[in-house]
Amino acid sequence: MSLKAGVGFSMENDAFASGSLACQGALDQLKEEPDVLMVFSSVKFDQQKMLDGVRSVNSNALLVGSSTAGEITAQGPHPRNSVSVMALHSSQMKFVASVAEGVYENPRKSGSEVAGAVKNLSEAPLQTFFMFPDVLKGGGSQVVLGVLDVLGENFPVVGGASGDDFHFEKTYQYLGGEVYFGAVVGLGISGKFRLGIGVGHGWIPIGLPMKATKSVGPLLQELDGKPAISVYEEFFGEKEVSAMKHQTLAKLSVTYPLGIPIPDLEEMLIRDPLTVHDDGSITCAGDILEGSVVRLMIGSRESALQMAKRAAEDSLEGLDGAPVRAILIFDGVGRNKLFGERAGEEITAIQEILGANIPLLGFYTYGEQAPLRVRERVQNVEKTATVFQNESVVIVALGD
Amino acid sequence: MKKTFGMRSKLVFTVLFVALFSLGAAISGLVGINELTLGAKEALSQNANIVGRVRDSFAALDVVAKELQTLETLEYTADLLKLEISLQKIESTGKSIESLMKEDAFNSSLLSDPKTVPAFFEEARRAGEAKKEALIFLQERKKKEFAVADDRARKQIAEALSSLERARASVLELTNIASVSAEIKVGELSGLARAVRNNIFVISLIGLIFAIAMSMVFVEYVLLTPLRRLSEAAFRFGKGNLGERVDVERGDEMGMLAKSFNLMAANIASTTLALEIQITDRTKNLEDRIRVNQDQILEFEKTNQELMKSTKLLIRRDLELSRANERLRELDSIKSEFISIVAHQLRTPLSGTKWTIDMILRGPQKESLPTELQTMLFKTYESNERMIAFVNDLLDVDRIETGRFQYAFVRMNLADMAESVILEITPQAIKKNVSVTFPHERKEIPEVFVDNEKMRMVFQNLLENAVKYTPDGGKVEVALVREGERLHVSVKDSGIGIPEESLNKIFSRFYRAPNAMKVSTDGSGLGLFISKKIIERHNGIAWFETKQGEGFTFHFTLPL
Repeated sequence: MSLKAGVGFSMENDAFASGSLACQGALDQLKEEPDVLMVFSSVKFDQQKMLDGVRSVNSNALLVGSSTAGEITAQGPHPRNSVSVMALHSSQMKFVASVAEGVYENPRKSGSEVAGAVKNLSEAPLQTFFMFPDVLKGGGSQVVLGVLDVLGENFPVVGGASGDDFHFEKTYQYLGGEVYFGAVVGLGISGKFRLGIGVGHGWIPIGLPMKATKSVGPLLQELDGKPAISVYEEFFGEKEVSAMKHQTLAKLSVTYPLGIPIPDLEEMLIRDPLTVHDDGSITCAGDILEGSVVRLMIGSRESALQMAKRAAEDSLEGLDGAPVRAILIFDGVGRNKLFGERAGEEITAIQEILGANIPLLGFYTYGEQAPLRVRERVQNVEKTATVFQNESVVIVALGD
Repeated sequence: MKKTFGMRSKLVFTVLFVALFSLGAAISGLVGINELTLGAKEALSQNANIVGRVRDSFAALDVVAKELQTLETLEYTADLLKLEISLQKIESTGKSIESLMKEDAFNSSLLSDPKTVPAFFEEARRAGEAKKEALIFLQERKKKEFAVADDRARKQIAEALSSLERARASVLELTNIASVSAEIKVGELSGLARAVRNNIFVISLIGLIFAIAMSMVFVEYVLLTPLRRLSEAAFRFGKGNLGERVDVERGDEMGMLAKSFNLMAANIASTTLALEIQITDRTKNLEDRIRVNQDQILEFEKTNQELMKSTKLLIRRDLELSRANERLRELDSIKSEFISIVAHQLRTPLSGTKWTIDMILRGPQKESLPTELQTMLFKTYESNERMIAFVNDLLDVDRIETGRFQYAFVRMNLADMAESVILEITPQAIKKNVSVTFPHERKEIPEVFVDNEKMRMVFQNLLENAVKYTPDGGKVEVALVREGERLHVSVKDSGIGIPEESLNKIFSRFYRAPNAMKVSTDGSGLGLFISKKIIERHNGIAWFETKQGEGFTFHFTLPL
């Protein structure tokens, strides 16, 4: 058993105390010197003090992490603001990490920078890459493309975009003892281990298909020749939407995201609209290609649960029979809203497949990254390509 | 296909005709040239012949000259006869030259040359005269004027010799002139031949032009005219005049083409007519279908609009529900937080109360207190203990909900735990005259992976409830049985059971069934909630079976 994991969390009011208690909890369970700490935290806490708290317990291990819209451990989704830490130790794995800023300005460049830095730091060939980007300004797709530019189209990249407790104002990324925003943190893993990845969402289309008649990157300007926001105005009423213009559209749209049908892909690609502009255009978390068909999506707990189970099965399959040592979950923030007080059911369903006693850490994200399996009709071969998406659940199982 | 005297044959004949014409012209020209050439050759050989004969004459003249020269030295006396013979020879030579000159008609022009010929004849005549004079002189000499005559004879002979010499030069010149003239003549002949050749070319050219004109006429009348008619007919046919036909009654290919065209046109016309009928039918069909489709489309559009309307309604309802859910969740969270605060706040004063009463009841003051007061204090202590237990339950619930309930799993045999908890509960059971049994073979009970402390709480909760709600003389049975890959735990009592209307609420927090409240006011309504949560955390499944008044059995299974 070369890979060991421990998870701790805390809901104390004090940022430093919460950080230190969470880290201590993880180390208590790990009972080994940690190689890497993954820290996920609510933005309720002073981010620097919280990290100081974590580092007060252990400052030797590599530290990566992100602010969240809620965390998940083996006990289920946390009901209140918390700090969660997963500590990993392995004699046969090597961890390297880096950060790149400037995601708001040039997300693709930042993606390439962080992937390039991690690749350079790693002595052995990288096996997988975890990323925690800031996508509040819509750079999700591009930052992933930037990473893939360096690591290769079919490289297994997973991760979750930072959250901020559903405020959609400011999200943070962590590396070492430092707090960043508008950045992307990357963790590269090399060595001997097994990796299983599963992804799915279960959102279903509602209403008639529309066409993205005008769109530039993540900026969706027109749907069916009308300002993009009119979709939401039509379905929810102008009053509802005008309130969202003043706050943020994401609060409404994460539970009614947009779906784009992708050829050869079983499920649609989901995009969260984040903000509305005066001209009625919408900035989404990821790109929407001009000319693509766009659907309004609605949540179904049943199918969301079913897809979570499927994702868990896929991740288990990826381990090829090796026992699961640690589970990471990147869960779209809208799913937490969809499941409501039953959010735990999704996690329980995943645990039923992967095992309830396995150290588990996850968080509710503003965007997920995972390789999608695309079956190419022509050659009938499966091709995996990491994409940026929203409101899906990404399950990563680590084994020896 | 019928063999006809077709256009190809006509064309071939025309070409053959032109070729033969040209060939004839060429051959006749060539024959002419050939004849001219032969004539020229003959003229040349004749010329050469003349020249040869002139040369022979010269040779004869030379002989005469030599003889004359010899004559000078001779003694007149001895050789007069010889001289005569020489003179006769000269005469004959002159004659032969003369006849030679006259003989050739072709050279007659030469003879008419005013310069050379008279001189020749003059000289020849002079030579004759000289001869005559010589003869006279000889006769005179014979008549004894030999000495004078000799000189004169000598003079005359010299004169004759020089005349001969001049005659020779003239003949030579004449010969040269004849030769040159012959060459000129040959050149003229060649020029004539060239002219004949040019004439042949001109004739050929005329033949060619004639042939081309013939061909054009042929092409125009045999090919182009019918083709134009065909083309015009095809054009008009293409324009839609399906009755268009061509009138070309001919046996050649053009006629056949026209026939074929007419046949094709007739076929197309009939096919087109059939098609038109079909198209009319189909169009009508399609129009009918389009009408039906349009109706359907309208229907669809209407349905779509209705669907969109209901979709909007659905989405707004969904949003309302989500919002309500969210509020409930917030309320629930506030409630949990409130309970947590209350529980934490109560814990300290309750502990203080416990500590104080404990001090009094255990301390030396106890004896000084009246028995009645001591009983009251003891009851207060018990109530406080229940309060503490309740607050502890509340805190457990809070810990469970906030994840503070930390688990440490170990592999163990639950038989030991069950026995231990039964031992704890025994005093209460004895007090109520309730029997608690746990029939088992320890080695048949498999080990499971549990958190010792939490699982113990489950057993305590279940056994306390069972004893509490089982009337006097009742019994409680604990069973641990392996079922496949799971351990099945059950706690069965013969107690009051649960009324049907409460069945779906007993796992809720703070819920107590009405009949339970009657039996005992004591109880937080949290025990089963906590137990279920703990069991679930162990990946276990919890359920129960009961009937009011006929007992209650709590079941759960744990994975091995």
